[in-house]
Amino acid sequence: MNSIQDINIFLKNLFAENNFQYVDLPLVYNSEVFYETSGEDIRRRMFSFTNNSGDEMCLRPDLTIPTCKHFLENINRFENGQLCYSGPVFRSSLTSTEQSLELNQSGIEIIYKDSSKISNCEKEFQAINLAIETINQIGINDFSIRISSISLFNLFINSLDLPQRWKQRLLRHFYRRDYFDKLLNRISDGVGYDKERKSNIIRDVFGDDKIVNEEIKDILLNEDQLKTGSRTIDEIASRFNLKSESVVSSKQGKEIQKVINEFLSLNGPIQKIDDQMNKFINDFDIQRFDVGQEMLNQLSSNLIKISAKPIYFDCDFGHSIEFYDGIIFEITNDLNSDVLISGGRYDKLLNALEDKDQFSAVGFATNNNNILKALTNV
Amino acid sequence: MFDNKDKIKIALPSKGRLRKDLDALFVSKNIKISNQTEDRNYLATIDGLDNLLIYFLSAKEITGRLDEGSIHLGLTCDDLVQEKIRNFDVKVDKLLQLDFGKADLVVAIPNLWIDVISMADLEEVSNFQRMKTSKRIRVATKYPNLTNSFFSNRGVVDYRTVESHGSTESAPFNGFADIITDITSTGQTLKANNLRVLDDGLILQSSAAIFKSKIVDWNEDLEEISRVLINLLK
Repeated sequence: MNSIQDINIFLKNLFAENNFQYVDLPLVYNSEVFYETSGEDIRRRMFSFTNNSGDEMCLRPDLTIPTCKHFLENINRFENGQLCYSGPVFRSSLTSTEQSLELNQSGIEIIYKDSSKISNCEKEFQAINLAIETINQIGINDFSIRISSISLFNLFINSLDLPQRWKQRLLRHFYRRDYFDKLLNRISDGVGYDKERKSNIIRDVFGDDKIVNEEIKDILLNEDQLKTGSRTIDEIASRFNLKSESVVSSKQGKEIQKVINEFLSLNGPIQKIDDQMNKFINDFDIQRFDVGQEMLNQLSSNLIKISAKPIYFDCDFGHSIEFYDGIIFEITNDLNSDVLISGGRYDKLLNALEDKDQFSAVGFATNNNNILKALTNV
Repeated sequence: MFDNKDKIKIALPSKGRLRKDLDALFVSKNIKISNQTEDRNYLATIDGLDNLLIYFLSAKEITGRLDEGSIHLGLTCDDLVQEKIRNFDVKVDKLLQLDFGKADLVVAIPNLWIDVISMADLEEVSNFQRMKTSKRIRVATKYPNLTNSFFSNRGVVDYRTVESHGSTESAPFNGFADIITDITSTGQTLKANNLRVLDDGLILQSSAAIFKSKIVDWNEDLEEISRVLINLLK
């Protein structure tokens, strides 16, 4: 194999042999589908243009979303829910120095109904096994496997003594490393409307000190309803009250910041990660995390059996990767640290495309540009 | 026609508040302009400064000309430069910040949203709405690019921009949008329209400035004229 096309074809055939149905997908899509699933943020990454009827179209920035969409529109054609693809995706550069890319990817998606919603990770292990097999078949020998679990992080955050809305906020932004750190800093300053903040805002908005002790809903009901714009008085009042009830002091906030950062710094060979986690739980007296401990234990004992290659577990991994929500994994080239394969579970992304949340999904994608680099450097 | 090859081309605002403030600046610095055409004053020179041609254009057009490199210098405002010129820091240099045309680009919400005082609140409210209705909140703005980069740096992703071309401040109350980003100099218009600026909702402090296009060809002679002109205006 000495061209991108060779690799694209080789992987397409390899996945087909493993019982994945190949889908040939359009290069151009209506941009809407990417905005709806990934948000406005992806706009900066896309090559988009307007067609003659005024619709905004784009070169596909990704193949997972088109594959899932194709599956949902043709469910009857894919009985086993195992799909594969191969070809280019297009990413615009974010800065003037970075180059815009035509990136070639091959990948698999396993889409299935998981009524229990308590995953035994069977599909994840299937995907990880095939990912390792893929690298072996290609003929790259020096590679490492890194793994983490967003579900484990969820369980950990939920075990903390923090207002629910802040837990959700941290979980939502886990993959945006900078903003996540800003959120932790905010927590360390204390959060919620304490007495002072509460009377300040009421004075600012209504210009009246006397009403500070009145029910906020009653105050709002006295105002012109049109002035609340698109939100209802109930919505505004209940969130206001929630903010006033769930106050975290600066001292508590600093402890929470510390323990989260400690958790994220846990990493090491899969054989040792359980001991590390147990020590952390004892040192910081973490409560209500039994389910997480059990989950990690099962995960590590299964992963040890999977590969002769060393597997590293890293709680911080996933901190800058969007759209996964369960196990995530990555295979890198030992010689230059290039990412060769990345994948994981992505139920939420899939659910954003369907009406009812009935499917779960696991998949991975190869980076064929990096694979070619590895092969031609050999 | 003139032989314009060795001349430095500068574009200045042709009308409105910016033009008035600029004229006042010229008067205070004792700079005299001569019109080169009889009926329309769209081309001029400065007395005592040879090799300099002035074009009078709208601030918006000046920004576009700087971007494509068809003028050397232009007077326009930070908000237009940062909104309209992609990679503006690569394409233009700011030579002189001026003391007029001042305005802030801010994020404003309906005043009665008393549970929302920061961008983090807005992030949560927008996410809540997305989960509840699967619709994103709509942000009316004349500045979609600046808005997008500000929002995404602050973790707000569940929104759509709605391009507005005037009276942006009424959009949240007539149902065209939920919130806005807009230019304000005193905050009075926003207040009168029942809007409130978020505590950390300042996107950009803008004022008029002389920008240099880095796209156009420069030589030592042209650089020198530019230096003299900037010194006159300082």
